[in-house]
Amino acid sequence: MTLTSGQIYEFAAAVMVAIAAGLVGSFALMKRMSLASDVVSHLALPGIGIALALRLNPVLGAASTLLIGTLLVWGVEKKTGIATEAVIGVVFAASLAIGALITPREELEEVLFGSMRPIGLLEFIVGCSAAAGVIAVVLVRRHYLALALFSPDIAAASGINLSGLSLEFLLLFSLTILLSLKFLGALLAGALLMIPAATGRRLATSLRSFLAYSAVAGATAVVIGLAISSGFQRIGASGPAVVLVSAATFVFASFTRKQI
Amino acid sequence: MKYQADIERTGVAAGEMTANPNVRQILEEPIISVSNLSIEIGGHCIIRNANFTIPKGSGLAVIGPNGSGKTVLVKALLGLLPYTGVIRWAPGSRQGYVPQKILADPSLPMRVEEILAAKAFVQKMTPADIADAVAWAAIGGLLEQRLGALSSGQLQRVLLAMAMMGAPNVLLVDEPTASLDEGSEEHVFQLLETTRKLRGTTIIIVSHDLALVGHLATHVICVNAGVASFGTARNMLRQDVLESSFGAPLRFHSHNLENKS
Repeated sequence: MTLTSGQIYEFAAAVMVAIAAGLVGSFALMKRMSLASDVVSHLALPGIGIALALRLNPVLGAASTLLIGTLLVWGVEKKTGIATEAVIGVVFAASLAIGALITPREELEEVLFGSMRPIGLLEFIVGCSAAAGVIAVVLVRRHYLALALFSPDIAAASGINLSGLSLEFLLLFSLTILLSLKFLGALLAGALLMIPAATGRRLATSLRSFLAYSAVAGATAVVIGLAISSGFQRIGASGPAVVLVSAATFVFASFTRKQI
Repeated sequence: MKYQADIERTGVAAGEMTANPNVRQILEEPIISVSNLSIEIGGHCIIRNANFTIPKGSGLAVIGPNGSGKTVLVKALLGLLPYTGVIRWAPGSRQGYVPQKILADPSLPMRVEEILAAKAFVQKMTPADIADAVAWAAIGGLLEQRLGALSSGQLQRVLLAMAMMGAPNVLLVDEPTASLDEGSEEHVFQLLETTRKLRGTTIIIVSHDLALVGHLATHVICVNAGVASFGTARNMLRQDVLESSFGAPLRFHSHNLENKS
């Protein structure tokens, strides 16, 4: 099987995005954001639906609703005493419903579950640069994030603006979801952040190894998953294959080593 | 403004005190002076109109019943909570902080050396700063341990090392022995007292255990029902004063309160 240039771009971009997702997902997992990750990815749906209906670029639509969602999650996070889970549950279901209603039927599967549609050079460059940016920022800021996770009090006393750091991380998180949408779709994008990170956590004995394992687990899942879905023409969407490979890696890692 | 007038008056008084040549300069120069400090949280007044000044190299014990606002007071001193009034640290003072509660999930995959390195990075410190603090707290053997594998005594020493990075001249320590056995308790207090005596580090220590802080304190703040009463250890750690501050009779074992610098 020879790969077209579009497919090569697709694979390369997917690997970059998966590495970014593994790194961001590692911190999201430690911050116990699994639930928030689902909400945020689902929030992309109505945006994509509106953009498609208006014949705009769906990435723009997704980006705008993701941004709104990010600020919403940040606001809820800042206010204690609000039933966060209830708010998240309502927003989650409502955005899925809105998205499903307004997204054109023929596009719905791709929007929900991702696609193997090859990408062009411009998409490749933009996607890879954004993913590289996410990777760089997480690596540079990992000390801040780690200290804030360990003890918000020590972090604040060391001069870290906790609220600002939290917003910064949520924006990175949403950008990573946005990048993952192409490959996994709005229903499964959150999984590319959470499952490889869960695998990494099973294997890791330090923060450094945690980040490395998560990134490798993410990259492995997209390469094998995309290969499977392009090999079997019956499978239209790429997301389910990636998620299944990722989940299988997690199960394998769980048996390999006890959780620390 | 009433506050403003008080603040200015206190400022002048503090200046006069340090300018007086008869005062022993090193000992009496204040490390922190607090005037008209009030702290409100969620509409509740936790601390009302507190005033105190402590000299460099003091051991200040912040005592009071559980839930009386000792932690709140310390956090306000560090600028972590909003307050009214004036908190003035001496120029050049650097604070190290050991909080009471660490929220960290024990299963966090982080090693001791990684969390020390994180703090050093955030505060732009050098590997030498880390090494000094590690030696001070004697945690060289723990560096490769995962955080979750530490005993509470070991974690406390790691926290002390983190606070001591960069050699601050003030250490604020919140309930350092809350979850420790007696041996580790003794070790922590010895370390703090030695540091105060040898390095002249000001120690501000929160405790609900009077017997323990009696060893270390040159000054005492007793926080209860919004009132923070302040005095020297000799004056404050008397049965009658404590009972009126705590608002209830209590047992207190005096531990050689003489012999304090």
